[in-house]
Amino acid sequence: MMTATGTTALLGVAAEAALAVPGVAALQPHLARRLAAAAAPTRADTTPPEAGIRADRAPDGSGWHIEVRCVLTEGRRALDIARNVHDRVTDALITHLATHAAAEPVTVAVTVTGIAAWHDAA
Amino acid sequence: MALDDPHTRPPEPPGAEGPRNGSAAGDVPPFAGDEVLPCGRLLSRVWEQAWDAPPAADLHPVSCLHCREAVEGLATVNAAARALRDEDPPGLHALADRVMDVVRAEARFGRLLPLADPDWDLRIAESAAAKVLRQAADTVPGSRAATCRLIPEGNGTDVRVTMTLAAALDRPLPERVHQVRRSVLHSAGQDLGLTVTAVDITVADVLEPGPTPGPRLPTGGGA
Repeated sequence: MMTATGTTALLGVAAEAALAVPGVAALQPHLARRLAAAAAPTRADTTPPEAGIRADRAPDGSGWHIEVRCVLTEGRRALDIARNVHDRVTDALITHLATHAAAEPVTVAVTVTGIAAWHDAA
Repeated sequence: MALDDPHTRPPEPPGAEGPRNGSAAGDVPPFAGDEVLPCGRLLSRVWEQAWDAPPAADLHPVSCLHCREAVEGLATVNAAARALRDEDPPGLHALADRVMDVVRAEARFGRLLPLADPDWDLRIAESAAAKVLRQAADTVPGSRAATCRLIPEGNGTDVRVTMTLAAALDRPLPERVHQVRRSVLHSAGQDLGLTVTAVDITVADVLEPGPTPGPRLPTGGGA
């Protein structure tokens, strides 16, 4: 089991990989993180990109389940960007875990929560 | 303004007053906009159970990460609300406003729909997809999309679109509706990557002749 620090690093690696995908405008913080930020408003303005990533142990304890929520830019097919995010985040995490002697299976889910400024293209 | 109001509470479904066993199968959302978690449970029921303590035999909320996340979110709000109620009554309204902003923003995402990849868990929020499809409908001269809902069909990646339109009457409606359907199907495939199996269109209003409407303002909603 990774330490809390290790989990934080995992979130950072996933966020960096997702944001590097062409067509990803931003990561959308998960509900729990947004509610926590609302309850502690002094931190509300500094929500890190990692807030758009959830990392959970798989239910059977066999590895990590990662959820990425992202906002896309217009002009590219959402499915293609989501696949790209899935592949790059998966690769980055597998590499990260392997280099820290913590190789484990990783499953990645990607949710597109918005497409920025699509209406401006009208 | 949407032609139908997603906040309107529909009549209680038959059996809604029956015993609640927390089962996902066959659950009918008790009100429009209630979220179905990826595990199939209703968000409102999960929160109810967390509040009331679930039946001892129901281990799902303990093992399911979706249910746990929902309960964690509720616990955060509960803790903050209690702290403010005890120590800082004037801050309670500000907290409530901030929390409600977050909740409304989350609700506006709508349900999550599968993108057309059967191998991976790739999804798109209904609000994001609906915005693109309404835009596609609007490209047909003499039509203006009002509401657009997307519903997953079956266990695969199929999605059904239901749309209401305002349409001009200068040409036969069936022809115009056909054009809108074609535009929506094309956009669903090309812009989103959704497997849309059907586009149900209802012409619900007449588009008055006049200047072409300006760019659509962002509505942020699935409808």
